[in-house]
Amino acid sequence: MSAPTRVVPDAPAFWKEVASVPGGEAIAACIQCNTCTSSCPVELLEPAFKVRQIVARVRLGLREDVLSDDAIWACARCYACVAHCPKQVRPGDVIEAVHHIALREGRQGPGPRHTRAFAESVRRDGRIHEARVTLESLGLAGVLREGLLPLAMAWRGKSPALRRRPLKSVKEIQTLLDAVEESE
Amino acid sequence: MRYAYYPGCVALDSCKELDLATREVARDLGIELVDLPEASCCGAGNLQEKNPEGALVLNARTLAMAQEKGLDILTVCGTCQLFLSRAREALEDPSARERVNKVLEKAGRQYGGGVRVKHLLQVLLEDVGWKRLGAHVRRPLGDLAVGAFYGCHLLRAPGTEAFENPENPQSIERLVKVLGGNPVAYGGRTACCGFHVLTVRQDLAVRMSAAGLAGAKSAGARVLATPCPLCHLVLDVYQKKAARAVGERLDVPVLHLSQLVGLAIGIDPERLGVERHLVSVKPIVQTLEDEEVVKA
Repeated sequence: MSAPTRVVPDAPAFWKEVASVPGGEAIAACIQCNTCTSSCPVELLEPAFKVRQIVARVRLGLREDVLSDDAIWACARCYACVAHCPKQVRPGDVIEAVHHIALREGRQGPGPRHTRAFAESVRRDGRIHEARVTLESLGLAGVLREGLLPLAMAWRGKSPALRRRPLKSVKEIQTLLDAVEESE
Repeated sequence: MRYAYYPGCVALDSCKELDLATREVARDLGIELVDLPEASCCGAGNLQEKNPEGALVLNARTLAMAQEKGLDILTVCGTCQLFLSRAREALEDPSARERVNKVLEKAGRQYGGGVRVKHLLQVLLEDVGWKRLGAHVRRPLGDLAVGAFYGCHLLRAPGTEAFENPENPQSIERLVKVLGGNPVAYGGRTACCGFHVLTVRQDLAVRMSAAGLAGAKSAGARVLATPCPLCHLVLDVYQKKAARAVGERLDVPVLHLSQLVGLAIGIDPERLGVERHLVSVKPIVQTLEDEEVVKA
């Protein structure tokens, strides 16, 4: 086993930054009881994803350590932790606030790529263009790795449409999204 | 019973059969669905983490569209139900509503609060009622062993606690009984399907759904019923991969709630789009039709 990497706090106020994003507000109330991690169906399969530790690392100011960690994108958004937290910290929402910061500063990886492709689809089409979001999230190589599955879907008529018309009112949606961005 | 119908994105794309089945079932049960053809995506948590205020504004726009028609919203997707009802709840705060309305003004819209967001399951339970639904049953499920697969988001949606206990839900089981079927108790019925991590970590999603499917199968379920098209996508489309992950045969067809109701109230299976699934529903349909013939 290699020696554990030493992680240095690089941003003592990181928790305040997270608390300023919608979803992250209650992070200071965490008592590190571990109910979140114990409720988490992902942690059973992916031990690198530990909700309580993500909250702890944010509060320790380990900004780079958290934001560069691919495991924070393993959250399945089931909100079991939100339902069970005895201090109403909403840990799953805290993770989404952390995602928001990672996205804002242009972090890369499969998680950010998918969220960006999704948000872009809403802006461009007003709704989700499943085929395009999948292609943009996985890349062509990723889609090809699915092997025969897309063909099996096509055979059953289960494929998402390759072309999907944007909503007629997509300009209105763009106006609203632009207005939000301008006010921020 | 008149609702602004919000099918969401997936029921109009890869799960078209859900939209088909819902329209058929609604017509038979006398639920009038008024389309919101220009409603946007609910954000599904992705838009929320990219642009939280933008997601709230778009959902306020959808709520305002229903309000313009004087209607509450009916959803058929766990994720739509969660994010629309979360927005609905946030916008009951007058100061949040005022802030959001300042943006909506640019599109000539206003949201006054108070629109309710209900999933079809809740409408079946509260508006149609078990008694009336039971009277519509023409092709009883004949003790078919049905496993409920609730999905997380319907259970976590604000407002669900008004008709359901999120920790020990019973409504789908009761629905199955009303339709003449036999609800199967199994541990995975409130498990997470993994959909929201499917694109980022398919290995996790497949193993998460495999646990639910294998649990249902070993408890004797012949078919699963889910109120969420996203659960359906993982459980149905990725089932072969799930079978490989657990190293056993699964072959558990996964019905949308609307299809299950549709089959029981006697709608032609073709009109419910059951042939669009990857795991064949034929054996189930065959069983039901054989019993129908025996009874007739």
